[in-house]
Amino acid sequence: MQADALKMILALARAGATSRAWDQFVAAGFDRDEADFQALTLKGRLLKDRARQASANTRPTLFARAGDAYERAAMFGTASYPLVNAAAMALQAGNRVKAGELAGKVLHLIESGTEPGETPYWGEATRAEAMLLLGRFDNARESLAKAVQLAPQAWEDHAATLRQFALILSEFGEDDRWLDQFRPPSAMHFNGILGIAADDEAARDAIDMAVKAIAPGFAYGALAAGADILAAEAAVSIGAELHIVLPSQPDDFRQSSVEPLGANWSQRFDALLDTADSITICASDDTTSAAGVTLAELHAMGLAVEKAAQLQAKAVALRIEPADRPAIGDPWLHSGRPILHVPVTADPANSGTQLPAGSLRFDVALEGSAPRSFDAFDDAVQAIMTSDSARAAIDCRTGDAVHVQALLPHSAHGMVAASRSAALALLAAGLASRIETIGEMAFPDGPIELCLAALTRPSG
Amino acid sequence: MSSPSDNSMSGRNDIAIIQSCFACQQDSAERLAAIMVSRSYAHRSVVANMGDPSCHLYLVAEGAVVAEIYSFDGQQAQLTRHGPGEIFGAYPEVATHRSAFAACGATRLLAAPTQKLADLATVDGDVARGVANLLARQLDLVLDRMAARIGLSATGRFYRALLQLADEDGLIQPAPVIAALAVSVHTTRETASRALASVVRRGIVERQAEGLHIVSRRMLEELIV
Repeated sequence: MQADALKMILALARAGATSRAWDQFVAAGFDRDEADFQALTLKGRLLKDRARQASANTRPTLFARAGDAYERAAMFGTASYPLVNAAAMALQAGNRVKAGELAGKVLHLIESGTEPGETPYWGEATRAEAMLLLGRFDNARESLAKAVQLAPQAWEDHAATLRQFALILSEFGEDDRWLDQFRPPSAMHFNGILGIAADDEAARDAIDMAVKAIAPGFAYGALAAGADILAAEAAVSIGAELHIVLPSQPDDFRQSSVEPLGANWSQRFDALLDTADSITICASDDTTSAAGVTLAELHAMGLAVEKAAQLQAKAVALRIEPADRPAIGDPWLHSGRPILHVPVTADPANSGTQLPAGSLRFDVALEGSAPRSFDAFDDAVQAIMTSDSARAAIDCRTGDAVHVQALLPHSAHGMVAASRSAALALLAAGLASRIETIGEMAFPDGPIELCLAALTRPSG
Repeated sequence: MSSPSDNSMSGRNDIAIIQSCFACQQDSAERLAAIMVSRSYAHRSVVANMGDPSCHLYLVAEGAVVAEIYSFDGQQAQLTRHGPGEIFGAYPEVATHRSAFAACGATRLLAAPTQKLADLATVDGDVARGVANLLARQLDLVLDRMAARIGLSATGRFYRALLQLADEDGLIQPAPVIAALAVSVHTTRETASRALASVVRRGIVERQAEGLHIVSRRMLEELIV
């Protein structure tokens, strides 16, 4: 029970609801628990988050209190992890002597073999951090390189380390550009027109070159014949993970958006499906519709942005379309994130079949009023932004079932409860700074993964 | 309507799925496998029509099945959706399908003839307990849907199952059949495989010749959301 409550508070903190998380932590009495490892490490985390948002006057005190919580946690569980955090907090509180003492203890724990680290990566990365805190920058760099070698694809962990290292280097007034060599690769969202001839070498070369320039580690998009397939093939050829998001079941999608374009697109579609690291079907329509395609695009864009945010990496969009036909309604444009355009020539004899329109609705629930449904995503978000409701929920759907009201009780002050699809759409459009999954809700037409989203007000 | 392909079940995967879902011993799972058949359905193909005789209990091994009802004026409404690890059909007696059932995505069902399953349950306590557990779990799922209760995400359920399988040293031996573990926590093999690959990639779980080793219990617990 206590573990569940702590986990919920951690989810709030991860979603950016710092004050709300702290209030709940105090209300549950966890701030008075001086003997529980989980409660103490969470206390350290929450105080650290509060310190980062605090004024210059109160920041050192909050960092010092965060350090005290971590230091105490070290008495009740794996010591190196909270101790190295305690050392970093001491540094940020302005106490370099204490930071050095604690970092020395961490080094001793690791080098004596008492605590090899929670994972091979974290053992070496913690050693690197302790060296950094001791001002042994060359040793830290060497040790971090070893840590990355031990788990070269532990991207999330590398990102956490790089974030922490940048803060520590900044406290020392040191250059942090050397960290760039360890940064995870970018995440790419791709889309474009269907009507590219299968033997259009110029288009293929231009797309290959653009993908090489982006150098994504992760590629997200659909697999319609033409631009999508060419971009996906280019991404796979340079070793990127391929994450396919389709608006309907693969057989339906093949029939509507691949086979009608002829040539060998179907074989290439199947080959990419076999290669893909994940396949997400995100609409509930029986057949491929224009509404489903829009939802799948939002979903794929959101996944790319989410991955980039998790890894502290770049999210880049690749758009493949005729130079005179830019995608005006592209949500990526609003977000201000980088877009690489590849101009191509549309094949007039091969533009695919017209899809049924379908229906994409954005539902909003606010406390004390009936749910409302919008055609346009921006209008739905605007309804939340302009309300003074303490709770808000948002969902998007291509089917008939309305679930948004059931999401509302899980909203927290300042945080919107959102289905994963809606949360990803918010990220895609740059309308949420972060999202955090808090669980799954069961409905007769299937489960919905529930997220908390921190909305950002668009500038201007 | 495309007809489903029936296959006898002898593969280690299917027996593991049965053992995992019925939470029974290997020999009981093998007895169940002997009376069950595996049926594969293409997306949108009909599993059963409303009013058809219902003489099997189905366990969803892959994909999903939607239950649809038709009103007198021909309007169609989705009643519910059964995902991996869920059961539907007739038990303990043959009955009539109260709704139509159609496959959602490529779907595979493990079908147990109602009468044979009931007969087996009367002589095999392990099977009887497994059927009772499955029915109780299905009731829980129905109530969760009515209450729109929030529970763990699919990956959270999978990680929790891994922790439950591990001994005090964090070892899971022999290695679990991922497809079976996935079905028992109501998710797809793909989701479970990705979840496992993610923690292996980070060194939180290590693959060993004899099975899996949970290297950091704390980090795995943190991922249970």
